[in-house]
Amino acid sequence: MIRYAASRAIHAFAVVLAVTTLTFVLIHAAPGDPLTGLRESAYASPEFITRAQRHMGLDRPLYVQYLVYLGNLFRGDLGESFATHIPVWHLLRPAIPNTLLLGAAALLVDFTVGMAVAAPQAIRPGGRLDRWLSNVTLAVYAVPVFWLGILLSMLFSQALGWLPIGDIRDPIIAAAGTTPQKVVDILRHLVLPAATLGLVGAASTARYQRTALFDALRQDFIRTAHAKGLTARVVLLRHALRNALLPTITLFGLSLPVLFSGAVLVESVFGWPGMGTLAVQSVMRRDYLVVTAAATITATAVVVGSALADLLYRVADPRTRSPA
Amino acid sequence: MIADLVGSRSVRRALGAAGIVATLAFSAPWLSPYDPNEHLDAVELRIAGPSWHHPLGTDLFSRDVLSRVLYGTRVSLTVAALSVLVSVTLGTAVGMAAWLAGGAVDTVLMRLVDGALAIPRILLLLVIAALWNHINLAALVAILGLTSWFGTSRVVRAEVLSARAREYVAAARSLGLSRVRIATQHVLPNIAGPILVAASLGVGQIILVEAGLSFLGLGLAPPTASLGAMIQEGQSFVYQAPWVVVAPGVVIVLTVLVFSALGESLREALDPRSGGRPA
Repeated sequence: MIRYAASRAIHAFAVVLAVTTLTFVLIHAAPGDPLTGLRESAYASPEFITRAQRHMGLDRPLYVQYLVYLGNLFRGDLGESFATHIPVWHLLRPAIPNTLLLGAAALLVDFTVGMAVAAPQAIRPGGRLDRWLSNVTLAVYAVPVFWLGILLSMLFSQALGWLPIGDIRDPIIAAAGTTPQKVVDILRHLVLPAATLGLVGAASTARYQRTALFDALRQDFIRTAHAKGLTARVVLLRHALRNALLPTITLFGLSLPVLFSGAVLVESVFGWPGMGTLAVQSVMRRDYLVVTAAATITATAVVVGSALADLLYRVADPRTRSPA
Repeated sequence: MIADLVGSRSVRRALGAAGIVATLAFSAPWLSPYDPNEHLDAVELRIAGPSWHHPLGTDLFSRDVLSRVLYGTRVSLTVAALSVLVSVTLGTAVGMAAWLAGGAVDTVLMRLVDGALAIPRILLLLVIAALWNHINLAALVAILGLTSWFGTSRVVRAEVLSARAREYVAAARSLGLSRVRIATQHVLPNIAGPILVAASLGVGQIILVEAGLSFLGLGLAPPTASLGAMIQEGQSFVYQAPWVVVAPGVVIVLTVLVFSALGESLREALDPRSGGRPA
C-alpha cells in the first residue's frame, strides 16, 4: 500500500511537472511578450525597454528562464501581475476558497441527483422509466452550462424573486449583518450557481452510475444475497449500492477537470468572485501570469484530487490490493 | 463494420438527424430571411419580439435572430468538424506513435497527456486566448483541435495495446511485416470504430466548448454570428428579450444532442457485447 502510495505520488508529481512545462511552452510559443504593449507605446524609450527586459529576466536564455520559473513556483512565488503590479498570489488567495465552496456544493448536487436518477434506472434496465431518464440525461448533457445558469436565474431570481444573484454576498448584510445572517446570505447566493454546475454534472454521473449499478446488480454475491432470502430493498441498498459506490470514487477524480471548467463559466454568469472570474478578467487585461497561475493551481488540485481518489479506491476495495 | 453500422436503426436515425442539422446550417445563405449582420431598423426593430416577419425576433442591434442563429450554427458546425478532424488525426497519431516508440518515449508522452488532461479545458483555452490577440476561424480551429486530442490519444493507445494480443497481429508479425506497417495497415482499420465514436462525441463537445469560449468573449471577433456570443450579448437584457438568449441555446442543445446520440448509437452498434448493457 505504501509502495503504491509512493508510486502514485511520484506519478502525480510528474504530471504537475508536465503541467508547468506545458504552460511555460505555451507562454513562449505565443506571439508577443509582456513588453509588447510597451514597445508599441510612444512614451517608452528603447533603453527603458531593455532595462525592463533585464528586470523581468526576459534577456536570459530560455532554459534559464524555465529553471527560474520552476524554482519560483516551488517557492510559491507566482510572480507579479503585469496589469495591477500586485503579487499574483494576493489576487488569487481570496478567490480560491470561493471556487472551492462552489465546487464542493456543486459536487454535492451532482452526486446526489446523479445517484437518485441512476438507481431506478438500474433496477429495471430497458424499462420505460429507464429509457425516459436516459433521454433526459443525454439531453441535459448537451446543455451549455452558462445557458442553464441564465435560464435558472431568470426563473428563480427574476420571475419568482426567491434567490439573489450576482457576487457571493449582499453588501449591506456583509457590512452590518450578524454572523448567522451572513452565513445564510452566502448560502442563498450559492444555491443557483451550485445547482447550475451540479445539474450538468449530474447528467454524466447518472449515466456512469447507471452502468456501475447495473454491473453491481449482476454479480454473484447479489444472487447469493437473493438466494439467502433477503428482500430486494436490502439487496439493493446494502449490497449493490455499496459496490456501486466504488466506481463513484473514480468518477470523482475524473469529474474534477470538467467541474473546474464549468466553474469558470458559471462564475462568469453569476459574477461569483472565484478563480474563474479572476482568470477571465485577467485574459481581458492580457495579464497572463494570473491566468497561468490559476491554470497551474487548478491543475495541481485536479492531479492531487485524482491521486487521492485512486488511493481511496485501493483502501475501499480490498480486491485491488492483491494481484488478481 | 460499415454493414453493421448501416444495419443499425438507431445509427440510421442519428445519421439522418445529423444530416438535417448540417443541411439546415449550411443552407444558411438561402434559408436566412435577412443578412445576419444587418442592422435592420435601429429605431423600430430594436429588441422586437417574435413576429411573422421575424419568427425569432430581433436583438439589441435590430438584427434578425433567426438569420443569426442559422449562420451561427454553420460557424459552430464548421469549427467543430474541422477541429475534430485535427484532434482525431493528432490523437490517433500520438496514440500509435506512443505504442510504436514504446519505452521512455511512451511514458513521457503519456505523462504529458495526463498533465494536459488535468488542466481544465476552458482554463487551458483561457491561457491560450490570453496570449493570442486576434482569433480568426483558422486560429480557432487550430486552438480547439490542438487542445482536444489528449483523450483520443489515450483511447487509441489503449485500443492498440489490446489489439497487440490479437491473432491477426501475430499473423502479420509472423509474415515478417514491419511494426509501422502492422500498425497502420492492420491495427488502424480494426480500431476505426472507437475512433469514430470519439469523433462523433467530440463534435458535440467542441460545439459546447466553442460556445463557452465565445460566451466569455474569446471566440471569433464580432459581428460574426456565434451562438455563444449571442447568448452573452443577450444576457444583460434577458428579462426584456428572452428570445435572444433562448433561441441560440435551444439550437446548441439540439445540435450537441444529435451528435451525442450518433456517438452513443455508433458505440452500441460497434460493440455487440454491450447488448442490453448500458454503455
